[in-house]
Amino acid sequence: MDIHGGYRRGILRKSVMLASACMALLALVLLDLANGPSGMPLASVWQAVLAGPYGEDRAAAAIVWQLRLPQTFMGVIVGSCLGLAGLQMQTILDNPLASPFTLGFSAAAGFGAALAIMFGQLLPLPEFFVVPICAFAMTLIATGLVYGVARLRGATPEILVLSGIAVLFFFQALQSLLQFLASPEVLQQIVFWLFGSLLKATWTSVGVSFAILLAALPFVASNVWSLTALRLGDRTAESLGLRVDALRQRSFLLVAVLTAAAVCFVGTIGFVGLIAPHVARSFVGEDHRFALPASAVSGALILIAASVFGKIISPGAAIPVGIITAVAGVPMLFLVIARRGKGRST
Amino acid sequence: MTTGMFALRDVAVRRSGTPVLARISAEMAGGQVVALIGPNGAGKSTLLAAVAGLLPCSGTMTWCGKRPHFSVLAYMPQSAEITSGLSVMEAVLLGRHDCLGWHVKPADLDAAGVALASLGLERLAHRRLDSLSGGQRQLVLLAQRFVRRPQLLLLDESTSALDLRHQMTVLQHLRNYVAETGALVVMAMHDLNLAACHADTVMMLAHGTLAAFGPCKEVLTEARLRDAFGIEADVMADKYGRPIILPRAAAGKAAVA
Repeated sequence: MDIHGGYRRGILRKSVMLASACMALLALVLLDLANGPSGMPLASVWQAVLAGPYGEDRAAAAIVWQLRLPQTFMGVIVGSCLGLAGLQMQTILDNPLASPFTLGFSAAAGFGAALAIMFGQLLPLPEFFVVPICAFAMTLIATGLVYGVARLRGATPEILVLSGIAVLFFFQALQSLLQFLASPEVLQQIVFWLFGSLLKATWTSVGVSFAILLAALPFVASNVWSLTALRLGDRTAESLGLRVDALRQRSFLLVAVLTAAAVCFVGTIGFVGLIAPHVARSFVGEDHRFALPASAVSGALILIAASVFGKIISPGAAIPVGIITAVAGVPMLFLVIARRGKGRST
Repeated sequence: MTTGMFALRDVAVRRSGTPVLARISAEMAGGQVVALIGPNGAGKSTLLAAVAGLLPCSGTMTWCGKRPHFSVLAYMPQSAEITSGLSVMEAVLLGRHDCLGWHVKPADLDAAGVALASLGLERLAHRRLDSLSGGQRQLVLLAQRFVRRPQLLLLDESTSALDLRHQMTVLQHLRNYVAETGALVVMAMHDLNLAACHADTVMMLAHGTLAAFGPCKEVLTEARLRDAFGIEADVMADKYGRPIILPRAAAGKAAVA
C-alpha cells in the first residue's frame, strides 16, 4: 500500500476543502456587501469601493465605507476569532460543548460592558473605548478566575469546565443585577450591547480586533502539533513528552484574548465558537494544521451568513447577528448531538 | 553500534505521603529486553512513569550518564484511552510531534511508514483511530513509540490487549530493535512465560521493593514466585533451557486438581 501517496492525497483533499470554504466565504462577503437597508446593489457598492472613501457620490461613499465595509470585515474578524477560540477550547478541555460562550467569557464581557455603560463616565477614557476596554478586561479577569480556581484542583479539563460554568453563572448574575439597577435608558443601551450586532463596527474597532487576531496567530500556529497530539488524550500526550499543563495554560490565555477581541466591540455572539469547530472537524479532520484555519473560516462563514440572513428577512432594520446565531445555533447543536449519538467522533 | 547503560540508584517514589517505591537500584546495559514483573500494586507502572519523568521521585537515574529525557526515551503508559478521529498515519506521525514542521518531511513519512510496517499496520494507515479495535489501537500506540527511534523504550503492559500472534510479533520486533540499535527496552508484563521467552533480564518488584534482578533462570524460581506473587508454581525448562512456569494454586490454598 502506498502510504506516502495516501497521506499526500489526504492533505490535498483537506487543502481543497479549505480553499473551497475560503471561496464560499468570499461569495458570502460579496452578498453581505450587496445587502443593506439602503438597498444599494453590488455594482454600486463596487463603484463606491473603487471611488474610495472620499468619492464624488458622498452618500454611496458613506454607506459603503462607513457602514457596509467595516461591518462585513468585522463579521469576518469576529467569526474567525470565535472559531479559533472555540476549537482551541474544545481541544484543551477535550469537550465538544466547550466554547467561550459556555464557559462564561462572553458573560464576563457582557458584565464589563454593562459596567462601563453605567459608570463609564467616571473613567478618564474616550467614550468610544470605555465599553470595549471594560469588556476586554473583564474577559481576561474571568479567564484568570476560571484558571485560578481550577488550578486549586489541578486544572484538569473537568475542573476547568466546572469552574467555567460557575464563572458563567456568577457574571450572568452580576449582569442581571446591573440591569435591575439601571435606569430605563441605560438598560436599553445594555440590552442592545448584549444582543451582539455588527452595526457597532467602525474602522477603529476593525483595526483593533484585526491587530489582536494577527498578533495571536503566530502563537496559535506554534501550537498546532501539540494541540493535535492532545486529541489523543492527556495521558498519551504526556507520554509523548508534551507538557500538557503548560499547553493548556497558553491556549487558555489565547482563547481569552481572541474572545475578548471578538466580543468587546460587537457584543455577545453565541454559538459561533461552539459550532464552527464541529463544522471544521467534519470537513478536514483533527489535524490542527487544517482544523484551526478551517474553524476560523467556518466561524466567519457562520457569522456572515447570519448577517446576510438578518438583512434579507428584515431589509429595513437588520436583525442583530447575535440573535440569529443563537436561534440558528440550537438546531445545529442538535445536529452535533445526533452525530455524536451515532458514534462519530466530532 | 555503541550501547548505553541505564542506572537506577536508590530510586524512591511517595504518593500522598505513602511510599510506593523504595530504594530501587539496578544497572541495565543497552541492547537487551528487560521484563519488569511483579504482582498488582508492586510499583511497576510507578517505576516506569518515574523514569519517564512524569512522577516526582528521589534518587538518581541515568542513561549514558545523563538524566533520561524524551529526546532519547519513549514511554507507553498502561491502557491509554483514545477516542480521537485522527487517522492511524496522523497518530503515528505525532510520535515525532516535537520535530515536525508545518510541512511534514518525506523522512518523517518514511519513519512512520517503517514503524507501521514493522507491526503489520500498513493496511490500517488511513483508517480513523476510533474505528479500530482495542488491540489495533495498542499496536498504533506502539508504532507511535517506534517512530521516535528511542534509545530507552519504556512499555507498560503494552501487549495486554493483543492476541497471541500479535504479542509474538511485537516481542520479536522488540528483540530485533534492540539487536539492531543497541537500545534498552524495559517492559512491564504479567505473562511470566512470555517474559521468560523474550526477555534477557528480569526485574522483579514486590511491595515497592526490588525482590530480584538478573537472568530469567535465576529470577523465575519457584521460591521467588511464592514469595513475590504468593503462588505455588512448577518451574521447568523448555528445549532451549528457558523457564516455563506452570502455576498450580495460590500459596496456602488447596492445589487445583
